[in-house]
Amino acid sequence: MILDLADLGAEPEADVCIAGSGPAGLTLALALSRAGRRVLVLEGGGEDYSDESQELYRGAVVGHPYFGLDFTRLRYFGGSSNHWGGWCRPLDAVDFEEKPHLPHAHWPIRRGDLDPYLEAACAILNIEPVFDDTRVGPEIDRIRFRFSRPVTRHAQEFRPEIEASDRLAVVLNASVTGVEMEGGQAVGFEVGGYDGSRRVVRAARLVLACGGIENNRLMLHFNDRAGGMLVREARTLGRYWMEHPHFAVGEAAYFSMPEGQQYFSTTPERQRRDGVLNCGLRVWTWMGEPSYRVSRELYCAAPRLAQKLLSRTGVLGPMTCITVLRAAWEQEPRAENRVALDPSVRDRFGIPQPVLHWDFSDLDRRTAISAVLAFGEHVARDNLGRVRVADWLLQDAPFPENDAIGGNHHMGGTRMSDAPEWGVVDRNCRVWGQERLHIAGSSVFPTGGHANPTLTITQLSLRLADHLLAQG
Amino acid sequence: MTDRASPAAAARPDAGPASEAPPRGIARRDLMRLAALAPAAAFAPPTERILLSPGGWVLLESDLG
Repeated sequence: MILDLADLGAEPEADVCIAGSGPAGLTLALALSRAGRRVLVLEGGGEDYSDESQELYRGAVVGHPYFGLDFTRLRYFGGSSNHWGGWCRPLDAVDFEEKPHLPHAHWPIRRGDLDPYLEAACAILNIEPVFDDTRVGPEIDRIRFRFSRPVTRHAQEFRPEIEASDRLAVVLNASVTGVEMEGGQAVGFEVGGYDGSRRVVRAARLVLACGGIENNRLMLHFNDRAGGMLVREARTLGRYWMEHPHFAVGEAAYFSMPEGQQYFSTTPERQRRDGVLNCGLRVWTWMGEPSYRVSRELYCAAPRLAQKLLSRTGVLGPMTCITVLRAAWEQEPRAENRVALDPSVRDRFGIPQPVLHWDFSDLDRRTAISAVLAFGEHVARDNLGRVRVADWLLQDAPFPENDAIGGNHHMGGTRMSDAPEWGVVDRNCRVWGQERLHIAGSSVFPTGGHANPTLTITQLSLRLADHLLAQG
Repeated sequence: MTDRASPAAAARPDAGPASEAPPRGIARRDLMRLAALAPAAAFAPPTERILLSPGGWVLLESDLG
């Protein structure tokens, strides 16, 4: 059923209470209710977008320019699935592994722990569960993305099932504003309504699934209010936040038109050898005036190549196809990149607004350079064309401010770890030291790979459902 | 209801690529740094060496005059 907070009974009964109705929360809620559990989902927004709800997502950014925090996510039924682009790809096996150049930043699980949930996650997201990558060069894979079409908007997609369910209730306009603590343990969520009403919802299991910024903000605030008893080792809380940097990192001049849009990534071997992270490359066709410019520049840089082309064609015009080489890559998880609280600016529920500290590192730059070089080597060796590395990458110039910048992918801050001193949740997404409280969504990612996160978020929620069901 | 062209939706990178051209030029020290990043072994194919031009092009040795 779907109801408003005003219509919720005084003491609602639920086995599991989930804060957030985005992809993480609704996937978990549906899996649990289908297995017979009574589930209550608390959604801070209403049925549709409203300024009243969205303004609770305001915040500040320090460091590299980023999207407005009330712009890069949505706060109403279905959460950010309401503006999701539909890109899907699982993380690679290498993304889960320990790396010498990333101490204390690895998953306590492996890709094999999520693989059993791939097919079910793909069904939820309306995609084929096949990711047939191909090794096309010594250090380059051509990789497969899947595109959710029609894009799964969770609230729309699963509304009929929710409305018909007597075990699953989505409560709208119900903002989680605190946790009720007993003996150092979280036992319920405090809930606030826009009309000023307050109540507490208790459940045997509590799950925070409010997204990769809000999970951090709420946990920081709740922990402050609990005097540090909620997350007893809070050194990493809010920290090691990540995005996928999205930038044009070069150009490729092809001798013949490549087929469609193509996607590539550096192999794990290349990543290990260069001491860099995972990087996805996207080849987009770019025709018109730039093709003359880029061709002229290539001919100047490679006169013998120009002679060969001239002898073959009789003219030295533009190359057949010039493409922009775009990259979306794995960002180094650094303690400096974090969600913090600004106690001087509070929302209508008294919760401090977030301040996102976010910038790039030398490893971020080297990861992109390594990928373009590996791709350029592949393109040259196979004589498909020639590739150029963007000057700003090579010159140590600042990362551009007039590019895509990020993917609206908010990861880390309540990361999963194999010991409480290195993260906030354990391998089962349970907050270290807490019996009931769990966290779902990409805020638990210790590393982000280069793949868009929604598929992994969905797999993790299905795995969390299995874990909670096994707990009884 | 949910597939609106919201400002946030318009910000998605999935909408397509930007077309900003980067500035020109490359400093020699950066080439040296890059050479350190991609050591000779990586650019030593069985038949032909791969080189990085001052303009940032990844070239075959035979491309050069």
